[in-house]
Amino acid sequence: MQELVLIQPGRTAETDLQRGATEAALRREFEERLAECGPLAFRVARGVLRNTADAEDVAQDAILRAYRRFDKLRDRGRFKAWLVRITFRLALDRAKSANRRQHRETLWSRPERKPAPATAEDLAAANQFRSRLDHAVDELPEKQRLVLLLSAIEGHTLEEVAALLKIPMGTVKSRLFFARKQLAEKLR
Amino acid sequence: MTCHHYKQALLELAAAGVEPSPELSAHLQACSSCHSTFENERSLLASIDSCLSSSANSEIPSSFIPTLRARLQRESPAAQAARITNPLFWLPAIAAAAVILFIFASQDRRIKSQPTDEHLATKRIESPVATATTSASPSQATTAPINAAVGKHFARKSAIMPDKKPSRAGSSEPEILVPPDQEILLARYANQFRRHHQSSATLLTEVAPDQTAPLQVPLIQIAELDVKPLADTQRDGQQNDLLEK
Repeated sequence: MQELVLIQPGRTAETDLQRGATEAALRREFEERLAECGPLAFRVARGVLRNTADAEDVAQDAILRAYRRFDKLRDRGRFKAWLVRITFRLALDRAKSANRRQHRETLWSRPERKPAPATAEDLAAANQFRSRLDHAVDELPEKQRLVLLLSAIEGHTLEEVAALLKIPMGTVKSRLFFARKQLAEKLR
Repeated sequence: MTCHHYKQALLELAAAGVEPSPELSAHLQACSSCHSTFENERSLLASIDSCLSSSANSEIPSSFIPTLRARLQRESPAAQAARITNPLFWLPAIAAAAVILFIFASQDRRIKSQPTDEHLATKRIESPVATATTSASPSQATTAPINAAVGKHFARKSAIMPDKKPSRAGSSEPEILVPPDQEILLARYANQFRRHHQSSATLLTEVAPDQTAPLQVPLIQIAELDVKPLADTQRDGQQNDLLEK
């Protein structure tokens, strides 16, 4: 389908041409980065939400939000970290609202039940291990959670995570250590 | 160091994902309890890593990138401009405007169907004063324009200040806007004027010629005359002459 262009009479053709060229260049640059960053945004959202449909929706929203503000980004080299943070924030918001809704429905439908205590081997084998892990991950501080999530994504070493988040390597290790320790304490 | 201290150190080592030091390795070989604890912790952390990895590295849906490109295409400025120029883009706004216009038009029609201010003003012309003037007074032609002007004035005034009591508008009694403190006085004046108007109208009503009837005048009753003798009359006359002399 052919695109229509809205022409404003008060503007010169030269200005329109320049603006159009700038927008086209920006869009081309964004799409080049999209091939690399799109899957990462989806995985970050999937790691937080644990639901493919929701993750797809949130990742697309985050990428669109980044696209709208792409021209305002001063350092284009930080686009990946910027997109990861936007996606992570949106996914957390979506997860929180979903958790509130689920908690409200659960509260009205049935009383809360505590899971029976079990050993680590049994928990690992049981189906409820994943849900307990998810719950424990949700309770982590956001900074630790993001580092844990990014380090769990394939192809991301600790150095890359540090470079992506623009934080020192020692900070990444420290956050990862405390996150794993806290998870183990809750799941032990 | 006791086993408790070793266990704490071993748990932290497992969480950090590093190999134990030679001292700890020696204790692990010697203490089965600490060895078991350390292995359990490593197994647990491996399970955690596995779950996290499987969750984070799930397969990307094939529709993700095409859908994203389509949304980006819609998001481009040219597409937004084309959407603005598309009549369908404005369809909801047009529909809303049409609904609002329809509501206003229906209200306007309802107002027009009610007794209008001019109608009320016409009735106001037929107030006691105006009715008496127009019907009873012989100077009918001269007062009519004045009454019409008064009626227009009231109509204009009532158009600016609508009646607060619309139930009266439908009644046959004419209405006049007066200050509240003069309402009773005006009512008295209207009653008085109406009574005068009725009496004068009765007097001045022309009777049709065929309705005329001969005046029935009763006969005059004259009493019988009392006749007296003239003798006394002559004597009285002589006495009067003597007095004059």
